[in-house]
Amino acid sequence: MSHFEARKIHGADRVRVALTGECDLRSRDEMTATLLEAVRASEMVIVDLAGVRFLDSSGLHALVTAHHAALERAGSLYVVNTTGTVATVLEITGVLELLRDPTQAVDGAAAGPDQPA
Amino acid sequence: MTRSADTTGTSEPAPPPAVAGRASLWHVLTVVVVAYSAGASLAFVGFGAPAIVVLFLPAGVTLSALVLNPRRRWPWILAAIAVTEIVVDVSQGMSVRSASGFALANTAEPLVGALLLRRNVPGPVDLRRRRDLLAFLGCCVVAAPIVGGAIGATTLVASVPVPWPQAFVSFWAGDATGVLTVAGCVLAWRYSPGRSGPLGWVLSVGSAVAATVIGFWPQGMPLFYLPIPVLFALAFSRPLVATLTAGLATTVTANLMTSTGHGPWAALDTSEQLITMTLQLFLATTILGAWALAVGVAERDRARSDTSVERAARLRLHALQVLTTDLAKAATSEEIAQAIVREGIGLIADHGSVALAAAGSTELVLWTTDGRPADMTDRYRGIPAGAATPHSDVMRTGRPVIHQTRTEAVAAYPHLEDVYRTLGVNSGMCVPIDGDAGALGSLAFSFHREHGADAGVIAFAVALATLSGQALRRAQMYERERDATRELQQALLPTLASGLPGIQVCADYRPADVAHQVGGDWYDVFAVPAGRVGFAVGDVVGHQLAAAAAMARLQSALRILAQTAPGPAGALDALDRASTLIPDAGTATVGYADYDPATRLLRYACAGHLPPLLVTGTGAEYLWGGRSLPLGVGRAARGQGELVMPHDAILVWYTDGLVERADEHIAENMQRLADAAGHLTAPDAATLCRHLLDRMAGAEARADDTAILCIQFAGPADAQPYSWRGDAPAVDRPAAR
Repeated sequence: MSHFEARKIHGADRVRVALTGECDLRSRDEMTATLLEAVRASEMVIVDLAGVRFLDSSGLHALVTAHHAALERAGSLYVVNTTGTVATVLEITGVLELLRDPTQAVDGAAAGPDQPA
Repeated sequence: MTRSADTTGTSEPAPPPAVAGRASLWHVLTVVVVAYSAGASLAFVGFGAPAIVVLFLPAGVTLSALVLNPRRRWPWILAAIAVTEIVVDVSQGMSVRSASGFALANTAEPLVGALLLRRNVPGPVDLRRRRDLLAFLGCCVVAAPIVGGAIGATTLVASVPVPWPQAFVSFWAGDATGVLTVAGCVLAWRYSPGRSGPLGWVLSVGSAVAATVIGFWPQGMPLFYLPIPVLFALAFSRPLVATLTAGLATTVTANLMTSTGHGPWAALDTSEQLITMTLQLFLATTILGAWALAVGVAERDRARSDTSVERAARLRLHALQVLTTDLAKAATSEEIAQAIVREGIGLIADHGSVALAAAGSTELVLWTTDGRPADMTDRYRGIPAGAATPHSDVMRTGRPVIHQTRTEAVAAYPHLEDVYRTLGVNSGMCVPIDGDAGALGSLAFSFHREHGADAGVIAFAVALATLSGQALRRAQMYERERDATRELQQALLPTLASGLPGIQVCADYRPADVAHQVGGDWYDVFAVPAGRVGFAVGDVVGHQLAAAAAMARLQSALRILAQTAPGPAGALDALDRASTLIPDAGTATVGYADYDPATRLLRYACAGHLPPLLVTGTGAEYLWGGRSLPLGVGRAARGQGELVMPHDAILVWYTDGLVERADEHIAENMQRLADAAGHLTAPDAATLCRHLLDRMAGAEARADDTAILCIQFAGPADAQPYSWRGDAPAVDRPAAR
């Protein structure tokens, strides 16, 4: 029934938002609201996508919107635990580069998208 | 006496409450006097007890008359009884003084009994209920005859030489048995009548009388208990009133048999008073035993029916909850109708259907429950306007139609008789789904049983109709909005340029099945300076009109910006800047390519968009060059890929609806798309376009819009002018959604 869920864990200097389910048009508003709340609450927001099965352009837009909001407040937002089709979508659209954990970005230097075909 | 008691009971119409209001006072008095004098005469003549009355049935007559009549009539009734008593007694040779004493006893006793009973049970006296029965026994059978017995015994000892206590007990026992049998019978007739035909009455009373006659015939053989199993069997299987009537018949018969010298009591060698007293005791015990059994059976039946009513109510409540959830998820009228049939009607009725007024037509569209023959489903799939069916009538009048038997239903709709017979329908009901202006549709419930539309079912049907109405109104609003959005979206899709050199184009656009996901996908083909041709595909995030409007603006902007941009990367860079000025553009992905027919050079760039697929004679591959961030994400360097197009190659641009599915990996779907394209030998743009859509569309509903654009680059031999394949000016509209 619940095809999308967001849980916030407040840490000392960061908020971790764990998303599960499908990040699509139906969950876009809830997802955007949760992420923006997290951005207002902390300078550093980590979005854990481990439980996300599906992410389409709506979910992508929610992530980008929250990222922009974080930048405006001189904070940062990045995603972790991207796997499977979610990782591929983020790579294909180039958004993964934008939202990658800066501390891990270095070792992924060679990475082009996980190109099918 | 049996007959006179029956007369008292049946002289007034059966329905309980306002008993006395129906029969006139004279009517009541006549019945009471006749019954009383018959009973009193029977006591003297039939039971042969001139001195000590041992079974006094009239005590029950008077008490019944008082209980069943309003208090303002009581003085008249009591006066009539007093006069009758005196007349009967004097006619039997008693002194006026004694007769007056008995008249006092026989009016004071029922008065006390009725007052006490009414104090404890103000309304209908249901003798099948433990509480009412105990009140009746305590007030009328035990207490009141004490009063009557005391006065009667005092009167009696003044004229007859008997000890007062003995006279009192005899008097009391005779009156108590009379009240128990007659008043019990009359009150049961009045307040808890059972359904039974005349044959049933003859059988129950007849069997009781027969058992009593047989049981009280021989003196040497103790068979007097024979009425017991008969009365108990009646108590178990027949209404209480039948048991009590049979009990009264048994009492009268047993007393008559004994007084005529038959049966074991007549053979007893002891005082007549003891004989008759023990006989009444036996009879009273037998009747009370049967009565208690009847009460127990009634309580069990009541508990059973309470449980089944409760279970049915719980089931209906649960069904409504499930249905409410499902209706909230149903977006279209069709989905709503299916949910109502599946989870509403199907749960409480054996068959049923939902009829909805078809949009833009006077026809009704019907959805039926499962389990009817296929040909019947087809036959009644649509109902023409003005047909004589329950649905049509309910729609026209806005009023429910209920038929509790098949005869009623066939009388109203003779031509539906074969339908009722085929489905085994014996009762049914049809209720309207009210809309703002007339009925939106109607719900039909059919039952195999007769009288299927009971109060609970009707309440459920009305609740269901209300729920359905709300859902349908919402869906209709929604469908109007969706249709308007789709129309606008189609209108906003660009008119593709024609007469472009060296290429053939085929495009298709399929909106999402889930209506609220109408998005902002677009494609475009247009001329750019220096003889080039531009191809674009894009996807604006969002839904409904805002996304469609943003899509149209982005598309126009790209057409204009591409005219002056140095190439695809530059065009997308300019479009990114422009998109900040376009409301609701949000995050958009755009793929753009231009092609020079002279050099066959294709330049392409993807702002976050899925890579184009290049299909050649040797296979299909994605073009991964020229990738950059989507529009509206942030300043980003944009590059572009370049490629000289092989002859007859086809470039496929598409949007994510073609390859993105929940629970499927996008990379696998992209591989599937490439394989599907690569396995086709020498396709043209139109064939490829259709083939890819067919192969990629899953069985499930499309959750997102899908746009596809196939551009075929002609070989040198047929470098004829640009031409269209496919239908319609801009879009191959799909035949089926």
